[in-house]
Amino acid sequence: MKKFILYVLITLPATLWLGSCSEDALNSESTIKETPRVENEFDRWLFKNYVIPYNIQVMYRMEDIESDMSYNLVPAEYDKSVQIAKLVRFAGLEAFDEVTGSQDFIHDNFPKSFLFIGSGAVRNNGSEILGAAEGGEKMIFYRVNFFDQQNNDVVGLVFHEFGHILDARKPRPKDFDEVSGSGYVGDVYDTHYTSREAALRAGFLTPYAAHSAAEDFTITFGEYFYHTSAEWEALLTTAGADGRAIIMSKFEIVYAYMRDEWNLDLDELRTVSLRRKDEAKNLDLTILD
Amino acid sequence: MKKIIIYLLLPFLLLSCAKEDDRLFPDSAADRMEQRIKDNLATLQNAANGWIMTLYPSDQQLYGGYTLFVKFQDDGRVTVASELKTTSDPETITSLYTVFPEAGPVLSFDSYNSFIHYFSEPRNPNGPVELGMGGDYEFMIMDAAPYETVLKGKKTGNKILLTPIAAGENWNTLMQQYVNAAGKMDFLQGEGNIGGIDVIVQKGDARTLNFYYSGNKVQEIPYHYTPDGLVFYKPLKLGGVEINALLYVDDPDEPCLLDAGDTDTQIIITMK
Repeated sequence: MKKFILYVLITLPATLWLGSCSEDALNSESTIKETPRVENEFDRWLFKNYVIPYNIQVMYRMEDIESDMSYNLVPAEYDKSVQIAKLVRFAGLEAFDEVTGSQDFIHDNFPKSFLFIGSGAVRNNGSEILGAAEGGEKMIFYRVNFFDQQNNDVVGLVFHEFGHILDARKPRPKDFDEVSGSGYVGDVYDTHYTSREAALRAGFLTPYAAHSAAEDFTITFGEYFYHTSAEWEALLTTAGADGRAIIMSKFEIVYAYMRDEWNLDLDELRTVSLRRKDEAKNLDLTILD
Repeated sequence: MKKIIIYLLLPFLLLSCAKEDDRLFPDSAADRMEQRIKDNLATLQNAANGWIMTLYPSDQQLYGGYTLFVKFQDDGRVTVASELKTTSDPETITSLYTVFPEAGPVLSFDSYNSFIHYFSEPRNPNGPVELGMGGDYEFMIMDAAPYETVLKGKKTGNKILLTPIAAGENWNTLMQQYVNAAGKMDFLQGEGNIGGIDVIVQKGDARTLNFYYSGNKVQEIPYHYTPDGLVFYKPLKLGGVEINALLYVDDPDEPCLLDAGDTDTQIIITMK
């Protein structure tokens, strides 16, 4: 028996080698096919202005697998998508290009895809989500069909979500979280702080900043450089002495973090982005140049 | 020695080379899907004067059905007309569409078109705030043929029919006939006898008909208007007969509804 096993063990590798089947050639054709879509003028513009410089894909046509299926959503309007894509490039992305001196900063750090949705993500109590940044990879823009060039906060939203992404890539200093410490109230922020003034007095720039340290951090970032110094000062005045002290100590941490970790001068960013915000009001957003 | 040779040969019994399986289809699944999409696109685009699309929103067809005209162009755009057009709307609205692969080909109206997406928009006051009328804008293509294309709503599962519009038919004139139909068939109640059973018919809040019979029994049937009458989403089955559509007879003295099929059912309109 022992001998039998020995023979088998000796001959098995050989027989397996001899008996191996001829290899099937791999089919060079992929079984994953691209969705057949006719390229239009906007697709070509996006390729030139988003894909090439920043490696960002703008999904302006509804793809339900990309969207949040717990909501009833409708697609974005073509013309509004064009306008938002142009605005975000001019007043958002290019502001960073101008401050950092190249397109690399956005190329290397910005989420790789934008998803445009026509409606809001409406909950059954009537409240809506306006935007989201999923895992730092995708930025979702809701309510695209309601876009109004003279009255919108699309770029503010982009800055807000981008703040989250910077925070996720290089974690904010722990000191920041300790300033307001146990003051964060989570989802009940809007019942806890029913007015902006109440939030300011407690040391939060908006009621939503009281949601969590992560929101507070990016709101402090965005609110500072997207307000004029006069507007910023007015907020601090409303906050009163106590509120001002809390906001300023958080702001100083944000300011230093952006300077040291990202080499971003928030004052310079403020000058550039506010100038672009004004210029964007007169920009022709309809022409694909 | 003989034994040894037998032992040496034994492992060969374990081997067998898997013979190539006969393929059930000559092409790969991906290729067949690609071909089917091409075929479906061609069918959709080949209707030179477009299609009449009967859209039933809501997974329970709570609001009945609505008529749209859709013309699929080969540049990826679709032109749409709607019977619900208001005076401030243009005659047609053009947007984008795609046919893409899922379990089967799916037709998606994937850029906003208020005529189509009216039925799926949240905050549409006809329905709950987060749902609206709960309509579809993505449809599985169940069967595409030049004389009729059958779609199935991805969310609702509702059957949606496309029938071609005859060449030379003017869209505006034809659509006006659908708009007029909804206007002239504005009855509230009627009475008749279906398969030997007395019924009272009442219009529901939206495009549904309630057939009351035998005391407190009721059947609720969603319908849509055509220039000639009312077409049901599902047949009314009563007293052994089946009714799929009713013709509207616009007699000023005695307006009535007649079975469009082969029964002699007549419903006299008693209240307008």
